[in-house]
Amino acid sequence: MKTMLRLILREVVHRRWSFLLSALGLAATTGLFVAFFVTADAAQRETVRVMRDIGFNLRLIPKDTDMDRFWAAGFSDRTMPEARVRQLAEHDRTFFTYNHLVATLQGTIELGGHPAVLTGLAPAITSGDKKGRPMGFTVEPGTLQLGWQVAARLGVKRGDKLALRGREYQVARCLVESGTEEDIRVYAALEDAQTVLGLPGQINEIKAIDCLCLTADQDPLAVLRDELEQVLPDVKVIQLRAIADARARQRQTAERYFGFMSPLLLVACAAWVGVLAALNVRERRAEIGVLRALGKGSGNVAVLFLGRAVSVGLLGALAGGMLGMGLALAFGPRIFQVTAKSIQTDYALLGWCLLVAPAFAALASLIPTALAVTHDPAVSLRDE
Amino acid sequence: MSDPMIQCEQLTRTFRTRQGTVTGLNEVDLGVSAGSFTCIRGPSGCGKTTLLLTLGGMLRPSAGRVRLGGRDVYALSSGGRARLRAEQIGFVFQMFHLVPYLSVLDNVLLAATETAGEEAGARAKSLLEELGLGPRLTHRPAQLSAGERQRTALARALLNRPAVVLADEPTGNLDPDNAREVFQHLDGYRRAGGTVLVVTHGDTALEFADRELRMKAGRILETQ
Repeated sequence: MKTMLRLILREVVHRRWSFLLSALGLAATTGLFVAFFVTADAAQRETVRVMRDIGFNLRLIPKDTDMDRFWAAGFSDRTMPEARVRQLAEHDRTFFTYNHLVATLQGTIELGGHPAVLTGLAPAITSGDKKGRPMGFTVEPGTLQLGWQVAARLGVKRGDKLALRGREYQVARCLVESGTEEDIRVYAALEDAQTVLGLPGQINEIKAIDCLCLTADQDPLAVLRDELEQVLPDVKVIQLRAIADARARQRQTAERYFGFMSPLLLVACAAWVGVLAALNVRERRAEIGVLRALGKGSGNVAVLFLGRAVSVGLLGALAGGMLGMGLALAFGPRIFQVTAKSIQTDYALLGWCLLVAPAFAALASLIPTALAVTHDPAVSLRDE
Repeated sequence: MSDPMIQCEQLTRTFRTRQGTVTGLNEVDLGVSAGSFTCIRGPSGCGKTTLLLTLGGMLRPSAGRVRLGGRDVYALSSGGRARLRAEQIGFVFQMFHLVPYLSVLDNVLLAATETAGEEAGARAKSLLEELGLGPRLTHRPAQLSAGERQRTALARALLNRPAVVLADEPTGNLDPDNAREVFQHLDGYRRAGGTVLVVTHGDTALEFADRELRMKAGRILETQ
């Protein structure tokens, strides 16, 4: 074995250009994978952030809601117990894979002789396996956040006091103009809204962001309705189709792209390494013949070529890993500016490269190695 | 004559080509005594190399049997034949077949068996000294003359003290002086108890051979 190892090293040095070409192919592939994986996390976070900013994609309202009134008012005129949100969060999920759940109670109130929508928000419940900032904003009890139109009409600003049905609240924030019905909303903590509207312990909507982790050919709404209506039979599920579809499309596009590119890249790399290994075997037929004549068995010949492939893999993994990591660290933060800080050196990934790339190179060299092992030494020795 | 070191009976080897089947060896019967220097001569393409490779366990015959040191070579497994070649047979080729990226010493040590250990290194150096290659131990084959390359190949063949040396046109690429020197070394090995079988179409080997065979069209024609 010592002789074989020495032979591998000497041959690598002797045919260094062929060796380096093989390693280059593997380095390029490894580099692309490393760069992709290091930035993929940032890309995913960025996508999540963008999607989150689009808004919730699921609304769960009481089942007996009059839908005509619902669409006219923008919220349900029926209520359900606040406990439903916890029940939903804790149920044994199959398809429903929420990221954020927010219980709300909405109702119309009069403010200065004009209608406004009082919106009580409970703190968002995030999925146990999701970390990060909760969706939207939270409102501290005893405070209000006013839509632009309401604040402008009443002439109140941050820090002022505002009375709602006889109770006084502090204005914590006046929102910028949104150009939507948000401008006439008054946001309060859920319990404050329940008090003002006289509906203690009640909510009339659960807003959710669901990842809709289904394939393109599945109808997510039907699947979700089946599942959620079993858990909460008194709840109706409404999907905000455009938002949901945008989110699903974004995710499926990324998956399709990676699913298309990865095999292509692997096949191209395997072909590159394999062809160069085959050329190496061809060039060394006489050497194989002599080794056989000297009594070296098939195992030794296999070790010779697989050992070379493993060396190619190690060099490719080292160079490619560092190159990919360097590229990701250099360019990733410029591409994914919002989540730039999440792009960091991934030592575990580099470790995996050192394991996987040599194995991959050995696999790509399997056919040439088999050719070397089965090569009839007498042919090359006789032909010479 | 002592017991045959190499014995073959009705040895036949055919090759399939696009033009049809070619007979390389045609029912060859041959016995080579231990400690002998046998020279097989014949024109190119008469089957000399095929015979040598078949006798050396490198080319399975289409028919017939080869015995080496009493063992049926092709009854052995592939691994068994590899061990037999490593321990009992030394090959010398016309084209030397040295590994281009190894030094002279490492080329010789390539033949060392796994169990040889430190002793192989000392023997390789001693053989190379004997063959006049002492100052060339670290040189690459490309830095050697043809004669030096063949002497390196000879040292490699002799490293494991094989029972038999099979030499295929060992002087085909050498000038007469170098050719004579190679045969002198082979003769020295024979005198030390080894068995030498050389195939060649030159005359130089005859000065050292104690037996000459002629081959034509895959058959051994005559014995002297």
